[in-house]
Amino acid sequence: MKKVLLVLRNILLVSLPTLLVLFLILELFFRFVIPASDQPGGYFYDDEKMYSFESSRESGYVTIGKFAEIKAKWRINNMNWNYSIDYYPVQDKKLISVIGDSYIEAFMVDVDKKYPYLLRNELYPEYEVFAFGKSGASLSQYLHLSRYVNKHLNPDILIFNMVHNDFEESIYELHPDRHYFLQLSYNESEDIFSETTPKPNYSTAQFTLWKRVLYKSAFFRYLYGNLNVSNLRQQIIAGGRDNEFEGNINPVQVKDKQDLIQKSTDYLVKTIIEENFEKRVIFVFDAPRFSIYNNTLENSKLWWMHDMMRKICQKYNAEYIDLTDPMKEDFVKNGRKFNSELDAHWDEYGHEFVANILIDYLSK
Amino acid sequence: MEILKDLWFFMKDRKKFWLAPVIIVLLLLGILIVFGGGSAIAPFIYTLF
Repeated sequence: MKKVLLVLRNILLVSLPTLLVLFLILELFFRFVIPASDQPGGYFYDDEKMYSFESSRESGYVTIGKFAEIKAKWRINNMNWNYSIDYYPVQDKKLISVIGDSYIEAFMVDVDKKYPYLLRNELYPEYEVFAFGKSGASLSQYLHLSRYVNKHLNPDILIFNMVHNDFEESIYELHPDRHYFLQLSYNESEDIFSETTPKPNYSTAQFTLWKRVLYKSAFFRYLYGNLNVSNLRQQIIAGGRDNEFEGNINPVQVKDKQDLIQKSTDYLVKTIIEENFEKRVIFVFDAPRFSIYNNTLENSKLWWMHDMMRKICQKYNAEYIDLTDPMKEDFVKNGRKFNSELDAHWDEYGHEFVANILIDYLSK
Repeated sequence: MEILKDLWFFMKDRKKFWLAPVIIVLLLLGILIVFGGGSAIAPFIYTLF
């Protein structure tokens, strides 16, 4: 008994203070030596039913990698989006709105290096370019975003930046966890879609005090953001999910839902075109880049998505830019990937490349 | 594994079991640093925050 008490006393008087000092050292280390990723918190604005970013912090740095190899600056503007400038009513020039997910949010490059801003640098003052991107958004949320953008800014041109996970995640029945975005709910008996109303995600830091407190810790942010521990758990459970991925989806799982995805995409593109019949609408679709890098493009399991988008855009007279051919051509010529080894999103080179494609396209 | 054994015997012989929490925390951090951050493919989604 006396021994146990002695151990307990030592733990209380020696171990705990030692641990506290250790955490303090780690906290300082991940603040100043290897800066932990510090992205702005997500925020659901109830009046707009819009999930974007909290307005309380204006700027900071996202870091990626164990050693913070990538460091990118972000800035939250007056309308709560990550962009270099504030948005304002544009009257004397044409306004382009670029809508997308994490590729347009673009926390992996400096805020003035993402392609909408590069586009602006090139096209201003003839055009003004604004960007609306939130990670996890899908095609159905792009519809919601287009309505929001039309209501506030009434752009002349809408560019929708598409990636491979935009289709299945638009369907509520396949991804009910994304209820904080607009999704389509499918009624099988009547074979019709209805639009869901985005609802707040009460598990986010916006609504949960302990998460807000936890997020202030650089050590925690390093574990969560840089080491991606939540994904580590998933990888261990699923036994290495990365091997099953192509683009940013599991193509086998998605292929099973092909019919439903085709119907929902048709509905969404049709609705976007109908609601913007006086505007130019351009869909830009990312390439299956990993198949390009591995020279296995012919065997890619994502082709049907590219065919589907091409056909649907043709059907509704929407402009469509598939990045597959230009990216393949550029990779064969320069051997330069469009993303870093640490993250599958476009890096600075990727953003520059897409900006140049669009500058060429828009000036034709 | 040898180093873990040595640490255990050190704690046992010297009766310094209070070292265990510190060693466990450092060990966990080491494992996370070695195995973490390896997924470039997975989507960049942080719904928690």
